[in-house]
Amino acid sequence: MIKGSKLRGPIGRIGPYAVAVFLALGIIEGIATGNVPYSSFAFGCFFIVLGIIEYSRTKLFTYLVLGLLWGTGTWHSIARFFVSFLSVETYISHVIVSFSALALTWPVFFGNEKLESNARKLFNLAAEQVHDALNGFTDRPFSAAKAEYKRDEITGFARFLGGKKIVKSIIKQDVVILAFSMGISPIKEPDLKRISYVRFDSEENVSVHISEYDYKRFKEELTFDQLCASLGDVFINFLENYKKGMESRIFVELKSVAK
Amino acid sequence: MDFKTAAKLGAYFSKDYAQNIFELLVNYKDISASEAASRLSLHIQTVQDFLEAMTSLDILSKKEVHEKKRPYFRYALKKKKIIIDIDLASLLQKKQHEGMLSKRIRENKDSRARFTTARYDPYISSVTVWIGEGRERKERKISLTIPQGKFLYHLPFPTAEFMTLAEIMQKAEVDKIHAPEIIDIIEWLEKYGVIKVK
Repeated sequence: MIKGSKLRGPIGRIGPYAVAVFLALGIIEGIATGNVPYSSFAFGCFFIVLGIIEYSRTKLFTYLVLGLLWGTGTWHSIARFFVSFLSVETYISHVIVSFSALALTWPVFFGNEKLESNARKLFNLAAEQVHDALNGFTDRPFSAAKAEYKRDEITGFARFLGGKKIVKSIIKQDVVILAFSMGISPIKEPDLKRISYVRFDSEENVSVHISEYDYKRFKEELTFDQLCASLGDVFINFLENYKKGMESRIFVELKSVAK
Repeated sequence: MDFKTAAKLGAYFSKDYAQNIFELLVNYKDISASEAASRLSLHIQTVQDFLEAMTSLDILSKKEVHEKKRPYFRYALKKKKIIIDIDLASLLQKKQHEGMLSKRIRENKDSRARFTTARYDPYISSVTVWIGEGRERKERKISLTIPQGKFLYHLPFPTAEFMTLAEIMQKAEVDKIHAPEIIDIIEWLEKYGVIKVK
């Protein structure tokens, strides 16, 4: 549970704690029995299960590949004592491959973690202004408000937020979409039905879509139209700051809320 | 002529034997069902039904006569020209006059409808509702016209304030010329509990 946040904690957050617990368990078992720490099998299972869960949530293969490599790597560390064709050399090779995979997929892995973290901040920022919990979810976009902007301003704003990994920006001829999600990753070509986004069109209309997954991450069933309106206001406010050259205020606001 | 009368007339006119019966009626001063049936090699009940239907539509007249105390009807043409004239505009006016545009609506809570949004454009492209329960549950998907889609894009959320159809149309920038198709989809959605009318 995260203090101050209106959102449920992400499952990935248990990762560091679980690693610490499994390592401690392995050390204690090794010292107590003087044998190979069999708890490493459970440790390997943990990486694999975490990889599968994160893949099913984000739809990014990176998580699945890393989970499998790190999980089987952990198994490899003790399996070499029982399986004749495994050795220290094969284990080191496995570790090198695992770290290489992490290095190669780091932009995707880090980019997605950053996007998700910022999505949580955006939702928390919007939720600060919502005090009723009457639910009212619908998968239709919410027609938020009118905002004043020119084409170059809104595209610049979208590129700025995209570059800072606050959102994934999609810039089309007549529309700019700022996509974000706590579930399916918006990194790859996103399915807009399954992620949240704020849409700015050429006629200065702003509309907001919150996906069912993202809405269900809230601890309370916040009044949906108010939440959408508030999220629209957050982005319009960001846009105003950007137009005035006060981009730093966007970061201040994002940092001011719970993750 | 109203639409229902025209539809009934059309249904009878589409029968294979319709032209043959009318040929008899034009050439005979009057004719009974059994005479026409035997002449055309049809079942008497088929001809009887046809002649009765035409009588009810005021195209034929019938006269009861007796043959050795047995009564039967003889049919004669009342008019030699049948004009199907339907004023479709009357359907339109009827709905507009019902003050539909002043109805206050919003989406129903837990409507269980799925709205599919156009990928980058501000309108809903289709609505799917599920009818029935359990194994009897059926999916019903309606593809929307662009004005209908724009209208539904701006439909108030289940927890938002009710708005009149006219207000939503204005917000969605849908011209009043599209009002009938908006009313049509609203009636459909109301029927399946997707929208709530105040």
